[in-house]
Amino acid sequence: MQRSLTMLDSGLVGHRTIDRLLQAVIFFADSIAIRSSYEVAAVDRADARLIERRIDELREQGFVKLWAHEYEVDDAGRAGNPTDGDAVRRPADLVVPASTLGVSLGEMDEVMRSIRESAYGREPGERSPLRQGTAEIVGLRNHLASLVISAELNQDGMLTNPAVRTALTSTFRARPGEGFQAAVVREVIGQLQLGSLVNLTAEQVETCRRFSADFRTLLDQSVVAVARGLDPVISPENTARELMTRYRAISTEYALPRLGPQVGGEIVWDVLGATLPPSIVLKYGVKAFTWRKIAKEVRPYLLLMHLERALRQPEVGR
Amino acid sequence: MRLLPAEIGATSCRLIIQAGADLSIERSLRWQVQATEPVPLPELFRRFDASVVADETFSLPESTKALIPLRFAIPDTVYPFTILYLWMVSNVDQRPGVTRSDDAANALVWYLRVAAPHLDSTEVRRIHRALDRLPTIDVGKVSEADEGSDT
Repeated sequence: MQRSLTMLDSGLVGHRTIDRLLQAVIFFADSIAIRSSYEVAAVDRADARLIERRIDELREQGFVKLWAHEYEVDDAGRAGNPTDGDAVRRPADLVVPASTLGVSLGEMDEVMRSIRESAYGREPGERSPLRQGTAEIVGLRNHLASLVISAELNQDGMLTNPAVRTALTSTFRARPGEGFQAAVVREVIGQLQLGSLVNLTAEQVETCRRFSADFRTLLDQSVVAVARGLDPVISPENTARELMTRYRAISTEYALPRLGPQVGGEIVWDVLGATLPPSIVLKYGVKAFTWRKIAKEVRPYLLLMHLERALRQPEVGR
Repeated sequence: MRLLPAEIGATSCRLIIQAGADLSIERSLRWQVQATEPVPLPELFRRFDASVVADETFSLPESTKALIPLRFAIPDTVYPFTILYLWMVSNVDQRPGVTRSDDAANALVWYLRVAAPHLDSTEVRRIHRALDRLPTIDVGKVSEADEGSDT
């Protein structure tokens, strides 16, 4: 099933944004919608052309879609950024229609009408159910509006929600505005000490995507585990730790020792990737079929193996 | 003849769990399912509200599944679903002539529609019908009882 997410805090795009986009499309999403009218973040302005080119490349690969409001789009289907005098106009792949957005925001207002406005109206001395007073009400309103826009773009959900970023201080190590899966993936990358994924080439990203589906299954299963609670015990970082423990056990147990010294590096990838070319079957016979069995267990972790290989030995992965 | 509760498929269950996990992270809600004694819905709400205000981990009894008239293909979905519902009840205002749980049911269905737009619409209707069958939570009385017990 295709999974498209919206990145609503994409008005400013920099290397960090590209890293988050790549984390998403490699690990748990198929495409991410970002603002068509984005500007390059001030901190990365020196690399503006590089960043623009990378976004174009990701768009050509189908991993990024550009979205705009209807009022921003001209007759040629392009949207510009008013702050730079419309100097740069980019195509809008997804457009939020003004009429349906109006209806949906109307529905949201109905819900908001019933949302407690206690921060404004409670009696002195009465215990407030809100932890941060009016800021929480404002944050909640923005959070819901973000969900409405994402739904209007016909996306499956949000990668990040800028409203939450300013609304609350989180008790979790997940960054405010970050969903559960994004938080787990960030932890996994941190525990593997892979650094930024920005260094992956377009081809390497494509190769990683060959292994994404199996890891996504694993990630979906880990989300089901969260159905029994989310607190400091069951948290994104602990989920990531559990995935990493299993990954390390599997890579120690299976990766090379079980396959034997006769299997060279590239063949290991064929075997573990379960492509099992006829030449390998002919050469190794029964062993090749045992490897296929092993591959089934290892397959969800191939993405991590491949990323380690690509980022630690760039000359091998390229 | 007693009707079986409506079933929610595995795909929708995953979306509900995801919505519950994301809301918990976004709103800093900490909770955990525990094998504690069964608690009626109004009392559950009171405890949830108190935990949120005190910024403590909320203990959700395992028996909660008996309170929600839905069958989930992934049975544990009932827990994040209950959290979403309690959060809605906790956040909607008491309006004259409308019970807070009615508003909460509408708000939850709306929330699921925008947070998980590809949730099966037939199943969304089943969820709405199930929420309508839940006992009314009279928050005013729960709060008064709570205040009484404090003094």
